[in-house]
Amino acid sequence: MLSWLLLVPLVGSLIVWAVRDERTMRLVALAFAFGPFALATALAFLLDPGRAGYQFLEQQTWIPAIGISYKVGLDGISLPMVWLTTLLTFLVFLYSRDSRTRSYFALFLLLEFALLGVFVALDLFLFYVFWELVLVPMYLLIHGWGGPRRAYAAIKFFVYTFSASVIMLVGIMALYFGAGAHSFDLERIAAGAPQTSQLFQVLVFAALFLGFVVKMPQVPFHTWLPDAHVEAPTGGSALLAGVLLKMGSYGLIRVALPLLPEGARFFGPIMLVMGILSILYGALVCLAQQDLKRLVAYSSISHMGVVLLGIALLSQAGLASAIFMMFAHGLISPLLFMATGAIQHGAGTREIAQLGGLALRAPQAGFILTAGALASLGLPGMAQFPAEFGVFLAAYLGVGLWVLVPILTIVLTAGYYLWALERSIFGKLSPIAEQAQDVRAYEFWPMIALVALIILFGLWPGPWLGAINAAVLNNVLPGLGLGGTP
Amino acid sequence: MSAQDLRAILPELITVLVALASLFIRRRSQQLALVGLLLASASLPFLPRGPAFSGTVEVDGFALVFQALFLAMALLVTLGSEAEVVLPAERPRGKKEYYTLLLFATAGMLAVASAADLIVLFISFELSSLATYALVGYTKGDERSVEAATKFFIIGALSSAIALYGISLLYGVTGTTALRTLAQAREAQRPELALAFKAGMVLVLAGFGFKITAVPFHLWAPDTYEGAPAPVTALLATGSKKMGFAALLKIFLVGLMAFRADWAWLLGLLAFVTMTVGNLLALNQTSVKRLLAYSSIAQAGYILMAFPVATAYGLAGGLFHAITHSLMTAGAFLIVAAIAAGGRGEDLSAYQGLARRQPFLALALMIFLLSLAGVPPLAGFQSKFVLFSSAVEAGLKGPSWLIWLAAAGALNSALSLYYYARVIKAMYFEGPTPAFQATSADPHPERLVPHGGLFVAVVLAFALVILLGLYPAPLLQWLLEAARSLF
Repeated sequence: MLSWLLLVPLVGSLIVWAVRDERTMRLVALAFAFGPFALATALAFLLDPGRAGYQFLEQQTWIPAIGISYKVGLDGISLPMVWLTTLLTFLVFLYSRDSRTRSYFALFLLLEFALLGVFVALDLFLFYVFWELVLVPMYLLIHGWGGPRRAYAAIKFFVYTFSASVIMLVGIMALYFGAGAHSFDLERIAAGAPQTSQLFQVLVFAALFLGFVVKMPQVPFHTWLPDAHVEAPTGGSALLAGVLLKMGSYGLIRVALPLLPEGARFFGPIMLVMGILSILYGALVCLAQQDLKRLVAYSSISHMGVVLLGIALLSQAGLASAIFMMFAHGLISPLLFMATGAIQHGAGTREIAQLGGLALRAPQAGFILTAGALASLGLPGMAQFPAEFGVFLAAYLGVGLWVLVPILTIVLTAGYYLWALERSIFGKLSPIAEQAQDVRAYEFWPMIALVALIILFGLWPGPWLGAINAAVLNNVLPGLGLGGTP
Repeated sequence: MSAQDLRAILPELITVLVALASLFIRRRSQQLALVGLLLASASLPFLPRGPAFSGTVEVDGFALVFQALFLAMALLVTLGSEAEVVLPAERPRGKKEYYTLLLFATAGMLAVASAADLIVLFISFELSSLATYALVGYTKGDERSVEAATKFFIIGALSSAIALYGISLLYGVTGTTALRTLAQAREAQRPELALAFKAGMVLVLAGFGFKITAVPFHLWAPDTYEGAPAPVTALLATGSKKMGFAALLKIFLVGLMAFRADWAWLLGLLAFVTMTVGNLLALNQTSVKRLLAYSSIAQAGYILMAFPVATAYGLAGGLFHAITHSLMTAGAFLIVAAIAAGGRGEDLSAYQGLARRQPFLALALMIFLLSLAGVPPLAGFQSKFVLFSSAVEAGLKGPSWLIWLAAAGALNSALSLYYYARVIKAMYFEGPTPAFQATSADPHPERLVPHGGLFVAVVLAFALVILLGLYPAPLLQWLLEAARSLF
């Protein structure tokens, strides 16, 4: 079943490339984006959250000489990411109706294939292959359909993240030989790796951590993100913020933590400081932004800081909340990027200072942007609230009153969002906003779908959280040598 | 000399005979060369394993891997050598000599692969080198080609002299030129002879290091690669360079394995310097041919990692990367040949908008470049993976600097992505230049397609790069067995 999930977008990518007629191509692309979404939704209902280990396992030897196999599986940690990937691809296809060529859709399906592969791979070699494969379509998407500085942003994204991941690759090789399993199978390495020496674990963790943290990205490795986000086309930004950044935190939880518990304990305080710094830094930089899209980009750094904070605590509550935060942010940041994209489309600019009073002329755009901003600042009833609440509660249990530092940042977050809203969509009508058109219908409905999902998961996080908790308990904490105490 | 001996050198015999025959048969020299190479390839499975010619030649798994590689590369280059590519109008009748030289060069490479004696190895090496000197200068009317050949010849002759002097020192100390006997020589341990022996090792390394374009013996390569006709460049970067590797691997991993402690650090350093310098110098090149030349230097640095690792797994990685690098580089240089034959030159600007004019060539070149950078799941990634992981393994068990060498190799791959991406950017994201628009009035704006053979060669390399990336298992298994035959 998981192989079908991978195969559909891959085949779709090739077929879309081959279709010459534009109307047909668009329909075919939509169909191939809907297929994985339907499959992932079915998987969400079929997954048994109570079972330990991985489900829907498939395994096939690939390169037997060095113990590499094609092995995929799913658990409560990867399922939300898989579902998110398929959902966002489908919505982005609905949203990008204007002036896109077949290469655009083909590359997007290729990107979806690679992303899904990262989240279902249970063989480190396979994981790495998909991990790097993500870069190629994303690079071409930014470069082919991006903003004015796209050449610089695309190559910076490509080389920056590639450099970090080749170091991660060396770490993976060390795990292969060091853990004594002579296999890249995640479960078999997990049996041997935690017993290796502390020095080995710390060094390998450092190599893996570099690859993961650059992807998230956290201060001080974040500089590729604002460029890539701002220059990428809206659909690219939505997947970049919604899913690509999660690859980093997912890798930490799936690979680094359970395989290298001593390394994780050594790096715990470093991750804690890095997470808090990123929360603060992202929020402060947001206050100074003039461009709505740049603001959303920096807010991602801040919110991924919350995720890293949750991971750094190495406790069940922290990890589960961090994963839910990944999911919530994966719904909210694409919404915000789509909203800024729609505003740019309708008004011709994203400059906050030039947009005053936009809501008067474009009430739908105003509504969506407000909803996204409120969700992103953690309004109760929306998806990010239970996640942030959980992380901060876990942080209080872990580090005591230090938790006040990140909590106070929420005030800053509220500040920059409300201030930006006040200047851009409320207030006096500016000449540019007067000419602005409202959101087009094909842009409106995908965004409304996201708003509805954000509220749904805000009010009713139970099922996801149940599955996530069970997976953390069964698949992450045993490696860390921790019981199931919350 | 028995019939058994002759059977052991069957591929060499076939290529030499066809080379001589093609001097006298006036027509269809390309087809004749292709047939000869195919026949030689077909003979590979039937060669008797083991020593021949009183132990101066030995057919083992290692030799067969290299012979298969050399024949495959010669086939690709022959296919890609359409008359118009290598022979401008002034030498319409020169076709047959071109293919004769190409076959002689191949015969030399084949003999190096199965040589088990320093003298046989050196002579075979020279046979191949002399043929390539002439090939580089084949377009006599082109100044760059003549300059390239002169430079190549002078430095090549000097290097050969150095290598020969090194061999004479090794012989002077140990009294043998047979590689297997050299490996057991006790004399080298005597303190009064140690210096001469070490000097011999270094001189051999320097002499053959020229062929593999190891820094600092690489200075000839960019100019020669740029000046030579593109298919010949492809031969230099693939077959000829891998011949250097075959020679060095034989000498160091068989003949001098016992003295590994003396040379491992030196070759490790050479690997590091070669990959780093090659990549750094490639960053700012504006000629695609020169860019590929420097990239080829950097790739030689990766392959050099197999020496200090010195395990069967590492050697398999080195062989694997030698093979994938040959495929990617041959493909890339043949595309350069096609573009140059279309009359646009070799500058980066000639590649602007290529994706629209020649979608397949652009796609193929992009795949070759991404594979050279080591982006999965292409062949270049798989071979680098085996190579680098063998260094990590050896580093975990032995000297830990090998892990840093692997990390340096990995970071160098990231660095190389930058200049490969420049070419991709030109092909896909930059419009045709005004210069191109002027030439598009040309009644035959795309003269590239008619070169059927070249097209076939590119398609073959393209298919193999993707196939070996997705399913390297059988090849890797074969290479591991071949590598074990040496240890």
